[in-house]
Amino acid sequence: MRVDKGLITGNQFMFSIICFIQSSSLLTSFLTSVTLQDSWLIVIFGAIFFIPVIFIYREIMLLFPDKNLIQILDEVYGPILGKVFGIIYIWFFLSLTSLNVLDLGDFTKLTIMHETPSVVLMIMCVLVASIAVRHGIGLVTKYSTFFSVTVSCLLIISVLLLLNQIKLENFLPILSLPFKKYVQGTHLITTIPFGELLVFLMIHPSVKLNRKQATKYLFWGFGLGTVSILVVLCQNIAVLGNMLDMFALPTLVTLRLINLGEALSRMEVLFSVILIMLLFFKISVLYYVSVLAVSQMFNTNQLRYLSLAAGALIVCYALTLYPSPVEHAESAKNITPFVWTPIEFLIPLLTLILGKFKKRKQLKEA
Amino acid sequence: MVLLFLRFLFRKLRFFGSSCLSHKPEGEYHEKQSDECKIKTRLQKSLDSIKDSLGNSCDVKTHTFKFGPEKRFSGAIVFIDGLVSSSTITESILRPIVSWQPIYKLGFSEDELADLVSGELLCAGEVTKVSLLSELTLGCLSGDTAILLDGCPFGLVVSTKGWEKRNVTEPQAETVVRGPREGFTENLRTNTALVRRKLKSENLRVENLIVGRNTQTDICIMYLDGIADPKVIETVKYRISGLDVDSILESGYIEEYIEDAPFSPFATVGYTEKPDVVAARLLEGRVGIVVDGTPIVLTVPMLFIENFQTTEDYYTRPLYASLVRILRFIGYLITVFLPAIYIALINFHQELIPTTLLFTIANAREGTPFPALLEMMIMIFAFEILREAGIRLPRPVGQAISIVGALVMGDAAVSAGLVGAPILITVAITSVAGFLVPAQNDSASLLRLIMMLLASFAGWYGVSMGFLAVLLYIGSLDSFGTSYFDGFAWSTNLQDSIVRMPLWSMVRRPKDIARNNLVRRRFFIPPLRPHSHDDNDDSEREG
Repeated sequence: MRVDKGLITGNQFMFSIICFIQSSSLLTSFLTSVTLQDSWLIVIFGAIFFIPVIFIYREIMLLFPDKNLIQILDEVYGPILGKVFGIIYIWFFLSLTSLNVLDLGDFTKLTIMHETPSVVLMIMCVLVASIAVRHGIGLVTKYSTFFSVTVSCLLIISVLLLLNQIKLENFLPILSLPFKKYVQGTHLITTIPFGELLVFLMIHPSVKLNRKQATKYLFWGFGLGTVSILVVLCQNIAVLGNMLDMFALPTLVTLRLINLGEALSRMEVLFSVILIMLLFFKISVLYYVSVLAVSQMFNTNQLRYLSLAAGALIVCYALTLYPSPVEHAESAKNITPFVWTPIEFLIPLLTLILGKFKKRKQLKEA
Repeated sequence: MVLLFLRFLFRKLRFFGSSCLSHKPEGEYHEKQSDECKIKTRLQKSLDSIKDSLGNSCDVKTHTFKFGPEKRFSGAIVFIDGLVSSSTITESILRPIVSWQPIYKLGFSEDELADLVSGELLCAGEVTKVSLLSELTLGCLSGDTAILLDGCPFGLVVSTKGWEKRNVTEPQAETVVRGPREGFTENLRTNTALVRRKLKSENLRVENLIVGRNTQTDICIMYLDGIADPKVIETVKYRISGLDVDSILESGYIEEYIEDAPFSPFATVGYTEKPDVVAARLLEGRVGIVVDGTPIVLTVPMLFIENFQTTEDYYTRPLYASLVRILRFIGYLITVFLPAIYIALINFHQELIPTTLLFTIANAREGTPFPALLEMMIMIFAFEILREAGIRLPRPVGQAISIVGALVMGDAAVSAGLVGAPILITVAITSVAGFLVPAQNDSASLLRLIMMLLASFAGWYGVSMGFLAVLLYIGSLDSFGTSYFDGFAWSTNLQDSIVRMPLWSMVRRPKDIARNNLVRRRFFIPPLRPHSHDDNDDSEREG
């Protein structure tokens, strides 16, 4: 039994993926603090390494076109092991949501609301997101086009306005860091922004894609998202140079530097609004997916009633995750990628292989 | 949150309401109708029972007469004074019947008399033969004349409607610079005729329904067969014919009973006073609901984008029309968000204001006693009072109100140190911008208050969250099976949403309304260029 209803179009699916990656593109300090001026190279490496993973995701989507991840796990690993994996994924979704809620709270507290306790900000965001969750995935994805087009326009405008401050020598020296840093950076970028695309395995039954469409939308979405990360990173590196790792929010600082004849300045307000919108989009998709996973696990279709309870859980979890933003950043650099690796790559790969065998066996029997 | 609470309350109330409603004496009402209410053969008896049911009202007129060879038949007419045109009664009913001289031998029973009278004598356009007294009285009540014949168990209802009605005039609420100036009137037939004059299509369907136990209001559902979605037509008919209400006095009653989101600040049923608007909407596949007794015609389904479209957008050239439409969007955003942004800036983000402006504002605020939110509330409240007073005042007094409003409320409030001048400017811009989109004035004033509250306690972040919540809320609304916000969807609709493309480029109808019949024209036809005169452009046009 699938517990969600409603359909979304292929375009909305694609723009949701773009939004999803773009929302991490504006918070890149976790990457730039590791690989400094070579971060743009890392994005390209990461994208290349991630392509096989997208193939895995696509194959899983095509193998089980009308089942979401929890159902797939149930079918492939049987009822008991499947439930165990399901619980792991529910934890994964919930912690991703909490991490993003935490990001939003920290960011807002840092930039525009210095004195408001971040719990208030988080609760507001989760309350609004719960409207989206109660109305299903179609409502949030409806706005994905709007969000990603707005963000892209503003990115282009900001690049144009910063042209006078771009110094190409800031990219130098290229490839001078120790090799270990490159490995760490690539691992970071594949697990944190890209690997989170795993959540789309939960909502792909609402899209109804055939092989050709799945390839098209997944790769266009991934490609355009990567391009926007690349643009943001290049802009930050070219403008800030070796001051890059001094700031928690390099993009904000870059935009603050825009000053065109006194008329156009303080662009960082727009940035904060965009970041709030994008993070909100990401949070509502993740929130929806966690609620969906829970209700799928227990086979109820009472998403509406679960949503507020899950929201309370998410806020509490976000508050207790890290004692301070510094520790958050440290753990994002050194611990999270290793925890996410099996969940994002290894289990899907195993699921795909076992699923293929199962399907083949079923075909033979039939 | 308020909305959620209201919805909760509404659910509970509905529960109580339905249990109360079930005790209505509905059964009795219907029984009385079917019980012994056939037209009697004796003329006097029928007349008595009609008078009885109408309660001897003084405007019910009856007139008994004798006719036929040797005046051997007798009959009577019943009508209500004021609703009928007396010349029609004299010319097309009384004169032909009374002056009837049969030239052939009379060999018919008295039963056939009714057919003879209606078929050969009456000079009227619409004659109905009825056998129930209630039908007869209903006919009289809607302005027709009833004819009763002695010895005949049938009555005739002749259409003689002729009450005083207002002429077709320019509507006060929707004035235009360019475009037709006629507006609907209170008369149902005039209104349907006005639409039919615009659409001389054989596919235009007008269906009649009668709603309201006491008012027996006629309601016409208009649509273009083949373009309107049959599902929407079904839904409209189902929702209207299922109504069990006491009265329908205005189309607002119908709107409230059939709309999808009763507690939404956004109206999900469109209305207009102009026949060309209705015609344009029918052509896009919408369904019109014309209610007798009001010049306001409803159209469904309604999209959010309709609030920003006016007829003049299509009568002026596309570039300017697009500019004006964008202006309307900005106006709506300003009227909802400007006070909130002002409060957020003053309370939380002073660093975002340019320094010189900050000094000016600080200077102005120095002498005022209240916090920004309260100041803003006071001024907006004052403005709403002025507006409401201005609408319902007699014309000559209106001037006085505007003087009081402009001078006393504005200038004096500043010089007395009650509010700062920046607040006054903000409120003025806010309220004037609101008039760019008059159809959404009610939702704007509600949302403005919510945004102001959010801004006063969570600043810029609160406004952003409020914006997102409103966006999600609008997105979740439905109007008759169509998503309310779909005017902005990534589809063919974009030709007529934020900008208006040239008419010749709109080859398709809106995707979500005319679902089954999207193609307006097969080809994309740009206007013919002057230099193509020497080519054989006439033959191209024919092709």
